[in-house]
Amino acid sequence: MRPVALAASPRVALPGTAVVTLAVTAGAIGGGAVGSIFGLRYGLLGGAVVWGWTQLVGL
Amino acid sequence: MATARREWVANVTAYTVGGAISSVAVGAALGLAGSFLPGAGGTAAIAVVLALAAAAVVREVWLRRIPFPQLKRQTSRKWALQASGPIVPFLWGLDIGLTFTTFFTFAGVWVVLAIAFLFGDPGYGALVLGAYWLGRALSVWVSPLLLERPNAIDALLDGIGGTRRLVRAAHVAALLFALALLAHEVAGRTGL
Repeated sequence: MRPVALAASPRVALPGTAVVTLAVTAGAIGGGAVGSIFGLRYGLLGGAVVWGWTQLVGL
Repeated sequence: MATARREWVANVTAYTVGGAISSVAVGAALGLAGSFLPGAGGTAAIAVVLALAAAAVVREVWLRRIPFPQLKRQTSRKWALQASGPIVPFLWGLDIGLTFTTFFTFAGVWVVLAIAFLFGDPGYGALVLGAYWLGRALSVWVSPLLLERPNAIDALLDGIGGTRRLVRAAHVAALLFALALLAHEVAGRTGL
């Protein structure tokens, strides 16, 4: 992943990568758990979001 | 400031759209290719995904030094020199959205690709790769929240590197979640 034009991005706050990662993970897995009520395929989508998010350390 | 903000939003939007196009296309193509497999989407196919997810957990927890198959390349920096405006992040998005053509960090990528392929459904393949891309693009959208100040890219990268263990733990947690879902499905289908 490339940081895209981040040089022009505004400063907003600094919650930290850890906090955001935990929030995204909890949200996606929670969403997947709800989705799994409707079937395996919907549940797995939550995992896919987290796997994509966590590639952010592969810069 | 407003101009910079608009430019940033345009660039990240272009990146997101580019990646969404290629991710969805790759997912659909994998699903279409998988649809020709005998038993695609069946119990055996789900069991293979289960085994791959288990292998990914083992790799991330105990065998991190073992490399997994991947092309160790990144998007081209030259594109930024050869063009300007949103076309560059759009091309970066297209490239990264292909998923397996650029360097990645954790083994879950292969589970995503296996799901898209072995379930043998182009629509679902597009959806699962789209979800994966949503996670990837989200990390760019929230990056302003992680910057201490504009242009602090190096500090941001250092900070991300410092949370590598936690990010890996999140990755493994999602793998374990998928493992549980897959095991439950296989058990239900086989009566175990």
